[in-house]
Amino acid sequence: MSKYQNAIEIRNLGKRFKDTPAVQDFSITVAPGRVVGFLGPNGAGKTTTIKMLMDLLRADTGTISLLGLDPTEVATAIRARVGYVPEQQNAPRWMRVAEAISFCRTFYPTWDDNLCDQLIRLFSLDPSKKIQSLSKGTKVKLTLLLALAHRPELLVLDEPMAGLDPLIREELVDGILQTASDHPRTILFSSHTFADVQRLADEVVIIHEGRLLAQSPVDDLLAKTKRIRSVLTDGAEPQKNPKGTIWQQRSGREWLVTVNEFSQDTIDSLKAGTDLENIEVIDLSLEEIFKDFIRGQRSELCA
Amino acid sequence: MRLRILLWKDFRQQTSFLLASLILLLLPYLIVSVIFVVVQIREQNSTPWYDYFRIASIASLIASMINFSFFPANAIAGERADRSAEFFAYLPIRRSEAVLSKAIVSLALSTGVVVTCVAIMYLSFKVGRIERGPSWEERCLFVATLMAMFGIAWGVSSFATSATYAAAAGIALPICYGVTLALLLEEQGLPSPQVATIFSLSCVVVGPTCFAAGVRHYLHRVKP
Repeated sequence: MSKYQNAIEIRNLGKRFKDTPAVQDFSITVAPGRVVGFLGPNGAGKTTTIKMLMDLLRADTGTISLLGLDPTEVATAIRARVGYVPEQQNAPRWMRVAEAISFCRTFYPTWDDNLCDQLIRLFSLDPSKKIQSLSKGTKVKLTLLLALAHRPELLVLDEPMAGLDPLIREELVDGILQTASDHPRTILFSSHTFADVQRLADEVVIIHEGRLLAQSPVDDLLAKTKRIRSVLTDGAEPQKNPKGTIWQQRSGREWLVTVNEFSQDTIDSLKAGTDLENIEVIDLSLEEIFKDFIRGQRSELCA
Repeated sequence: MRLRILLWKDFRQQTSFLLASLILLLLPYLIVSVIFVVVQIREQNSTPWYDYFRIASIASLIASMINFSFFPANAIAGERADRSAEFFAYLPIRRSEAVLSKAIVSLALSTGVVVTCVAIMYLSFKVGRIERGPSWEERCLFVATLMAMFGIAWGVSSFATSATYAAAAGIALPICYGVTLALLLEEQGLPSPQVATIFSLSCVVVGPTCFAAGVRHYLHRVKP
């Protein structure tokens, strides 16, 4: 039984940079032990939200609770229980890998030397190397090692795989899965690599222009989000979008509609409003669902 | 243990500045040695070597003053400039521990270098059989200037993301203030010793005030 109801609880979070809103009225909850993929296009507000979670940036409005605590009040205590891999790897360039490990282990009471050694082997890290001589991928591996070796209750990853080759991505995902499987922990990670999200995540959060578009278990999202392709009969016009429409497009007589609350009623309501032929229901991948959410918002066609 | 490893980290952060300051301190001795050799070759009855040694030690001491600006300037802003401040910010390090370690290392290095230079200067005085060293007023002026340089550089470093600006502020502001004060007060007929006293007193106030403001800002700043 967890000591807290939600590992992450964000309520009505807001942040502006001068006149530009970065995050607006953003609320999510993440139960302990869940692995959450945080998705959004570039500039959607993912990194800003994560920085506010880590108390590296202060919100203008709203509240955050991490592991049942307020990060603005007890940031140091929370950081001892949270592993964080930022977008940019900023470990001091003059340190050697062994020095960085030795430095960090001092500050974590829960540091696990055995796990650290396992991760050094898994990631093929050379402890004698200087950080400035490491490649981008190896720096990410080191940062992930430092984030995992103290067995955090919550792991926050901000696009850790961005710009890495598939082999290194595979190693990192293996490292995360290995440590997540032997000791269940909550993971929030932002990524643009949908294969990684689909492999790791139990649920996804989609953010666009600082607003929450969806939070759903991955399986539910895949099961309930469908694209319906139909052909409008001569002269027919779509009367109204079905419930849960996230995107639609008309091209000649072809009408494509993506809905995120698909059921048989969706087809019935489509047929009831408009004369249609050749109705086809198409399964979508996570990437296609994400794209339709964003395209729908950008085209502003959906209510 | 936590403070010890932070002290190690902050010392390592300052090593390039320490190396630069050592080169700067040895430079006057090198220059004076070259001049001494050249003069010895050209003239038979030249000035004795310990006079050159004394000149070099004074020049070295004056050069060492900038360390009271370099080390505190690099202590906070240096980590922001190379972005390692972000790395340290998400570790469970209390800001109070971090700032204490930075202050100890900066002050220890600055003082260590200057004390070494002062010791060498007094040695040069002794070797040259110079009886009269700096007066108490001169010593107070020296220490007060160092306090102002350290405090200003530290304070600016806490707000800035560039150690260069903080170091420049620490060196330039006391000099500009001192020159302006001297020009204004001496024009009004105030004797130099009194101008020096006013300057020293204001440095003693400004230095610790800027230092305290820097500490306060560092403790309350959210961004690394």
